[in-house]
Amino acid sequence: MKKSMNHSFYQIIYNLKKYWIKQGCIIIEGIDLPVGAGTFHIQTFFNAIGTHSTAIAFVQTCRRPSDGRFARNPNRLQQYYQFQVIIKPPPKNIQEIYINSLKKLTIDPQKQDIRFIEDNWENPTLGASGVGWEVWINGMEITQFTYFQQIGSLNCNPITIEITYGLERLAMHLQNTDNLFNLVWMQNKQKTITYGDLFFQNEKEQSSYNFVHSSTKLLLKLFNQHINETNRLLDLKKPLLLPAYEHILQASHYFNLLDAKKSLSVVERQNYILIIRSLTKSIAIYYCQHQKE
Amino acid sequence: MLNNTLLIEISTEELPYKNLKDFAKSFYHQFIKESKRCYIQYKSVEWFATPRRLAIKVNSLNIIRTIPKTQIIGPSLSNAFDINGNITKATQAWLKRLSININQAQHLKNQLGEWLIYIKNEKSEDITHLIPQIISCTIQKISIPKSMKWDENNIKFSRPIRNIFILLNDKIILENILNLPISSTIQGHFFMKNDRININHAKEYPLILLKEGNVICDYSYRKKQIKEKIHQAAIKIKGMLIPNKKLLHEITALVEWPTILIGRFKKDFLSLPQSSIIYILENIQKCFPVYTSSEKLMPYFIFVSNIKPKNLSNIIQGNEQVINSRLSDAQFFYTIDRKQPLENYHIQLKKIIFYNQLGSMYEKTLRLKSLMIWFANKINLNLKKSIRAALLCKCDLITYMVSEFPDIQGYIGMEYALSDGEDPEIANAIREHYYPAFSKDRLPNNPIACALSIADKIDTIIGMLLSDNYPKKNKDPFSLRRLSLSILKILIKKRIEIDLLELIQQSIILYKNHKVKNSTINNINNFFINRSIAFYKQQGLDPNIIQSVLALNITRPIDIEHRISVISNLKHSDDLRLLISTNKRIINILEKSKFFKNKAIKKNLMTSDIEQKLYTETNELNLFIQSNVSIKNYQKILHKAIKLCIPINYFFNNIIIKDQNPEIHFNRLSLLQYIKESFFKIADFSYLHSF
Repeated sequence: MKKSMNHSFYQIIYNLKKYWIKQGCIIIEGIDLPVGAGTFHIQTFFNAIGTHSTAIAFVQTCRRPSDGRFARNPNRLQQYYQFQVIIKPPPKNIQEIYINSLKKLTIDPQKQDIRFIEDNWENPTLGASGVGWEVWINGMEITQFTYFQQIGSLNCNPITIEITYGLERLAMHLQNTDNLFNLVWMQNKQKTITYGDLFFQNEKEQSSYNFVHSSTKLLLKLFNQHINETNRLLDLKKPLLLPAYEHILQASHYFNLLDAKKSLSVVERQNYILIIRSLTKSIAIYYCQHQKE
Repeated sequence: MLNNTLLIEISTEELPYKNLKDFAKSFYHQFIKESKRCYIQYKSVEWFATPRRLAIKVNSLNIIRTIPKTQIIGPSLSNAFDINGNITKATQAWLKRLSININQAQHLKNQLGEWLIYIKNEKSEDITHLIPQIISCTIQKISIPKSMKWDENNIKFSRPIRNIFILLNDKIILENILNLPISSTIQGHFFMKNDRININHAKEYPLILLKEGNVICDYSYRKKQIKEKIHQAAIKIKGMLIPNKKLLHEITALVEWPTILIGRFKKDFLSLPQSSIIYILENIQKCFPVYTSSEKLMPYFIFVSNIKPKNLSNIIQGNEQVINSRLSDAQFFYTIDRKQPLENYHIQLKKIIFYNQLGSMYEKTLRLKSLMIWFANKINLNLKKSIRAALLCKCDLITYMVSEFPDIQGYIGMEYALSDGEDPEIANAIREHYYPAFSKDRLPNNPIACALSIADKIDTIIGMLLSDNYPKKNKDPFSLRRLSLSILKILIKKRIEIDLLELIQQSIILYKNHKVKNSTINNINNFFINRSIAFYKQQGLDPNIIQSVLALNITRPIDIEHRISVISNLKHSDDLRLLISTNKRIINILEKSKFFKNKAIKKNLMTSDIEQKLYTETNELNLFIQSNVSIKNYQKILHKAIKLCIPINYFFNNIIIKDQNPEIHFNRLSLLQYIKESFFKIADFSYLHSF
């Protein structure tokens, strides 16, 4: 139990925040819209474009409807948490800084086999691509480590480093459990709250919604409404980029829900991705030009 | 001056494991090229590679280079100066190009005239000052397919370069190399011994890293170590490994200090499809599966760690946990999949699109069914099995297992079919119809698999060509070229008597909704002719011979192949030359005769035995060809044709073709025409005139 207290979900987040503050990051909150990854956060997306420097870290709730498993799989969730670090430009010893963050969590690289396994990352909806690695600990991926090369289909200059910790994976390693739902979220004198206590029912119901009970008609309607709104905001005399971007994010989420239900044909799916991608690109370009002014 | 050692080490963040060896070799080759260009001499160069470093060690380097004498001739004296004795523009350009002034040029007089000449005498110099620029050039020329930027420096590489270390004997070189960080020490194992190590002499590398840094720099040695130890580990658990060169290379490229470990997974997972377990272990987790002597999977895996702590149990336990999780994921999918037999998925193939306007996968399987019926009739396959194979071969694409692990399509279909009790031949065809999937891949084994493979590929090719998706120079997204080569490979190597043109036509008919213009058919034909040429060229066969046979517009690949190989066997022989020259002579004579119109040969117009005998023997040749073409006895046919050259040449030498009597003249020409056509039944030998 003592081990779990030091490595409760809460404690891990706390330790990571403390560490990255020391490295010069400011802590912000996650974006308040359903997104698939911390990369979609306004601060990530817009900070990666342009020339000014950045150092931020935050926890992001992530939603990936297709990954739902009705709470029957002890390793997969349709909602989970990432700890996202964005630094631009990356310090020369960023790898060491990252390894030290693991050390701070009591992971000893001389005792645990840590590896950087090539993983070049691409997110077509954001027109984003990066070069980097999955970081493995004894065979399990716990972090995505990426040097962005392109965002919104524009070349990044300077380069942004994105370090994304998979908090559940990390917690499973530190708490030495193979079942997500048994993870200790937080512990105090009164009680111990597990991950399952908080999210088991949510996983069940959301999976049921995502795969069975969602209304394709409604999702299509909402998708199109958000796309239209994005277009409208971009067509204004002075385009409103941030609200437009938020509508794209919402459209993306409805796309993900449609995808989970497998209601789109291959052609439709391709088309929708292209629509989202081209709008995201327009936003990125506008932003880039606006920055110069 | 000759016993110098130069060490160059590039330290990086982990290099992509799939490309590590290529990068190292490219570094090595580019260095050799640069050195040659700069007249640098040495005894040998060694290369080293680990995930975090690429290194080159030059042994017995000659610190002095000797640039040979060069002479560069410039404009002629008459063009070099104008009337006033000033240099002309031509001279200016030449001087500028050589970066010299007119006083450095001399005069040369030879048989062709008088010229300006710049003579650079042989020069010997110390190369130490050149080393930084040679290294800079080399690094910039290393071939990197996907490069990245990581800081304000403009240089791009595969992964960030964090350090350059250059040591010439005992002297550290700290010059600027492409604005990259340069240091006077090297680093050991990033995790085990992350210290800076002082190295006193270049000769100490790589042994010093082995002893003090926990790094095995020597790629081949590291690979060999891993290979030996994984086999030892397998023996320890009474199992065996199936060699996987690719995986061995990848693992070698993923570690600096390999430790081999054995892990177990839950025995229950062995009920999963073998291909999924192997895929998870090899492709996802980079481990070696272990087999019993009868090639059944054991619940073990052998893997490599990059560190060697005292307590290995954490590492083993961690890996076991991940693998059990992944297998449990696969179990989840397998359970859903197996709620219905494979055949039930057939109707669901309507949900998967084959390509844009070409309909769904369901419709594709119906076309495959028609093609298999056609095949079954042509080459005597079991009709029922052929049809069933066509209908089942794409069913696994709808399963959760294949959606999750697309690379094991076909394997899953086969395993599900077998467990449903389908005929093994049909089950095998589901897996094998994808072969050959790449250029050195195997071919399908059983005849139904061969036919299905061809049917699937021709259906895709025709569908794409009808949608106007012809492959362009560098873009062939649907791999149509590879697919068509695969078809030819199977037809020829498996000796399948199928007419390619008929096959194409069958496939086109099945695309009912497509308008097929004549130009389309022509284009498709040309596509296949070009593919055939490419195919035979790939086999190393002479392009002229290939053309000589293709000129006959034969449409059976196996027939074409026989002819080409028989002619190729005689390539440099006198016999073949005789045939070619005789053929050439006949053609020349016929071309010269302007008013000749071919008529039936009349025996009564023949004035000598020689003509009559030639005619008889030509008839015999034709009969022989007729009866032997079906059994493809081209060797005998060719020899018979060669033999005919003797009476032909005897004819030429003893008969004057241009007889005064025009009827006799033309009769002789008709005989020659007859002979020409006979030869043309074998090949168009006019393509071989250069032989």
